[in-house]
Amino acid sequence: MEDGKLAVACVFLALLGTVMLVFLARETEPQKMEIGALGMDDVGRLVEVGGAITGVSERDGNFFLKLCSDKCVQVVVFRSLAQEMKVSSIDLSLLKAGGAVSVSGLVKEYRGELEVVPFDRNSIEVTRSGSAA
Amino acid sequence: MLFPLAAGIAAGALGLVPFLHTNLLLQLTQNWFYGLGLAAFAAALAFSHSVFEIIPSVFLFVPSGGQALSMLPAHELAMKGKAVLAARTVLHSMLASFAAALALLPIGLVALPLLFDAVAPYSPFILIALAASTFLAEKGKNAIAGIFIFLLSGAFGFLLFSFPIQKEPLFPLLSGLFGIPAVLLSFGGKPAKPEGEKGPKGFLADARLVGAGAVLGMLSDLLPALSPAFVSSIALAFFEESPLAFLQVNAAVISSKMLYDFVAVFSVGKARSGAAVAVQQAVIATDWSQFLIVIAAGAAAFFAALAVLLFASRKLAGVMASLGSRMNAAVLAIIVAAVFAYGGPAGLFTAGAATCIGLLPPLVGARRSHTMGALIVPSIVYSLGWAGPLALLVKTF
Repeated sequence: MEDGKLAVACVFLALLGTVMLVFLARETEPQKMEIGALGMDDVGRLVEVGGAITGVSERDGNFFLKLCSDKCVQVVVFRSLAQEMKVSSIDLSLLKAGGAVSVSGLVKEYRGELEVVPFDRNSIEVTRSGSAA
Repeated sequence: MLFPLAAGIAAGALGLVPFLHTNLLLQLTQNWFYGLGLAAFAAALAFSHSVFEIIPSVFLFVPSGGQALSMLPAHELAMKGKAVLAARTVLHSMLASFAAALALLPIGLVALPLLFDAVAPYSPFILIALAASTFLAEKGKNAIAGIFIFLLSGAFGFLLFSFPIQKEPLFPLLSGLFGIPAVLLSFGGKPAKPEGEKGPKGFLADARLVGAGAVLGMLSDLLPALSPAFVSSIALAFFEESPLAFLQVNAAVISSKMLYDFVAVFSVGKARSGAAVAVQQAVIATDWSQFLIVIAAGAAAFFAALAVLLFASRKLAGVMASLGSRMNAAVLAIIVAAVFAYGGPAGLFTAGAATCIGLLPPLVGARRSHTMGALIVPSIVYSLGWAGPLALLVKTF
């Protein structure tokens, strides 16, 4: 086969592979991980972590939860999503230390520290209310 | 410390086996040592491997003449019967660059943390500018082809690294982008012929090119996802674009970047390679005596491997030339088997689709470095904070 036809075939197959990857990605569930197992290699990955809330703070509508199990990680919920959550699933301002949650989100790095950033309004599930709402 | 060092040098010699990547070797051997021993082993393995892998990269998988437009510079020389010249130029350039990088170490240790803080907020924009410079360096319609390949690779890489489709996507991805296409294109190609005793004499590294490569290797650690080949292709926009010039700059970037990958672990707390990740997990990054041990182990392995190859390059060239293209089918089978063993059916799917992307640059005559979009685009997306919205788009579209 000449190079031109081969190139067209490769473009078609590469696009097909990428589209199939999109469908596979849609079917994936966040990877369940222990907080202590999170590392820099996981930056950009969709994970699910669970643990006890040891601190909650709010700045300009953005919420910061400190989530601990074998280790601790910060969960950052940006204002727009926090408002969306408040309407449809969970009011983050009612969460308090002592409760436990399961969080799905993307692992990000901020100033050398790992964070989990939820992107969906159903990304936080309360697993133990404790002194929380 | 001598046993981890010797084991690292020996494991690194497996770089003579084509496409046996450092990260894969580290995964297979990571339980051999722990703590500082593991760090010394990882550094020795990485440096030794970077030297030994020169031989298969020059002498094996020379493509057929029809691929001349995007032929790798070492293969271009090999086609002209100058394979030993290519190998010795790379070895000499690595040696000179490593010496320069060591001499720059006091400056690097002071400057890297300062530069890192200054560059970090702008890293996605710098990566975009660097990628754009490689498109501009292409001629005519190849610039458009380059942008298409870069973005397609980028979308592919983003999906692989952002969603848990498979546990370790890097090996199948890189095998598909680079390894398998190289083997496929070499079917029908002629094996590299060494020059024999009439080969090149004297020191073959150009101070200007090697100096530039050493500095670029150091600076490349300020940004994520930059491979030596990508950095070299940017650098050559400012230098003569000959195969020998590329080989010198690329070799210089490789050895300097390798050194500064480990320096960055201690000076800025960043691991820019698989071996650096292993070191980061094994050492106390604020203990400078451990830093000296890691660098000493790496340097000892580098010089040992270099000495072996400088003495044996002609003999190894003869062995590789005698193997020629007869081993292509066997190597292809080994890569496919390794991908399956490592990643299962998902790994094979990833490698297959990535192979289609990796074949595009040689088929359309564009630079192969555009496929590095698979690593660079995800880095840009994560740095800009777009990963969440994009992942949501994929999940809900």
